[in-house]
Amino acid sequence: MIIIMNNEKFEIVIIDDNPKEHIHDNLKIEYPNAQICTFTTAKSGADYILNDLNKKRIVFLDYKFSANEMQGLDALKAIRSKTSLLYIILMTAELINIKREELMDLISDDGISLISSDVDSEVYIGLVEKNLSFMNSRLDSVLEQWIIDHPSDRSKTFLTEGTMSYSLNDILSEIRNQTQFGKKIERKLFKLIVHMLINDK
Amino acid sequence: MISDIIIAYNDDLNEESKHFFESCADSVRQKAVESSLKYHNLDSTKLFHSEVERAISEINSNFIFSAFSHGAKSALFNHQSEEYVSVTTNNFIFGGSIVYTFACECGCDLRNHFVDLGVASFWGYKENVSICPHVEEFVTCATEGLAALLEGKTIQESLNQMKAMYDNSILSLKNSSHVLEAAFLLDNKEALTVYGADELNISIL
Repeated sequence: MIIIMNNEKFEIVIIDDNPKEHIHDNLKIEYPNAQICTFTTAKSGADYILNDLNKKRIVFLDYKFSANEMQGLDALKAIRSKTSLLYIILMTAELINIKREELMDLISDDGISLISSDVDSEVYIGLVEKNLSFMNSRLDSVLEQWIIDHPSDRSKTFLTEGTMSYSLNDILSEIRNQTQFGKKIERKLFKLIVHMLINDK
Repeated sequence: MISDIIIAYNDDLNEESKHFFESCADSVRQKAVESSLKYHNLDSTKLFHSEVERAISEINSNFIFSAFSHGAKSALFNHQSEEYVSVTTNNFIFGGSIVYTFACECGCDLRNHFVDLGVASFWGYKENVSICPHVEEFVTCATEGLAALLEGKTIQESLNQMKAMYDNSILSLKNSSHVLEAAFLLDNKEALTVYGADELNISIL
């Protein structure tokens, strides 16, 4: 199973003002097919990600940047305002200094892992493995991929419900932002799976 | 014996679901012709409660009233968001007849009022219904129960035929990778509500 995942095409984005060479090298050895992109400011990294949400990615994001720059948490919030379906590994040298309310937000988001900057490679490679596995099995991620791969024009009306109409792009946005409607769509899909299992089809 | 069917549908140019509502009406009209029923169209230019009342007043026996438009718990709406059938306007003129709707939520209060006022059969949906505008299966499923009734089948047979059509269409969409469409169609199926004695058909009404 790990061999299949390691051959999978995806992108690793490292956003760190002081990129650690060993992290890059270990990831490259473990995932030779993955594209690894490095950004040294939180803003350039966030802009790069937000410019194309359709790529399968795992992000390593540093927590602390220079005082007058965008911080890791700001970049995280900017990304989360557009999608909940991107996995982010937040690296910090000072876990103990994170404010309580910030920590609560981070812990309650299951798409975020928090690690110390100096952990062993097994730890962050284990997290990449876990997140790759999530990406391939979580209903919302699978649905996201299905929409991205859908052959029809994603800007055309796909669905009307009452007086509301939605294109596939709208639905994608609702799922990525985990809105009520986005969650409703996931429930509908889950019901379909159960229906098919019960009816043995 | 029922020999008239009213087909009410919202085909206003600005209606997002115009194509769907119109396709349902076309399908029902064709079935009515094949079954030798006289049809009465109420398109968006006539989709007002006064026109509904006028159309019904011109029919001397029981009838089928079919509707493809927006709706809510207690009413059916035209393109101007005005009620053309509702619990407070003209619900009392449908006694003894069949009401068949594809509209959001009218399987709630509107259905209950119709039942209390002696409608022979009511077909509708308890929840919001979804439409994938260019997927033919949504039209077929929305009209299948009525098509079966027009062929002379009983309420129970027509309902079974409609549910089977939903199941087959859901499977077919799923098998052709249209999983999201299949999921929305399943939701429509589960929201369907039908009232009426199992053995009734249009010949004995």
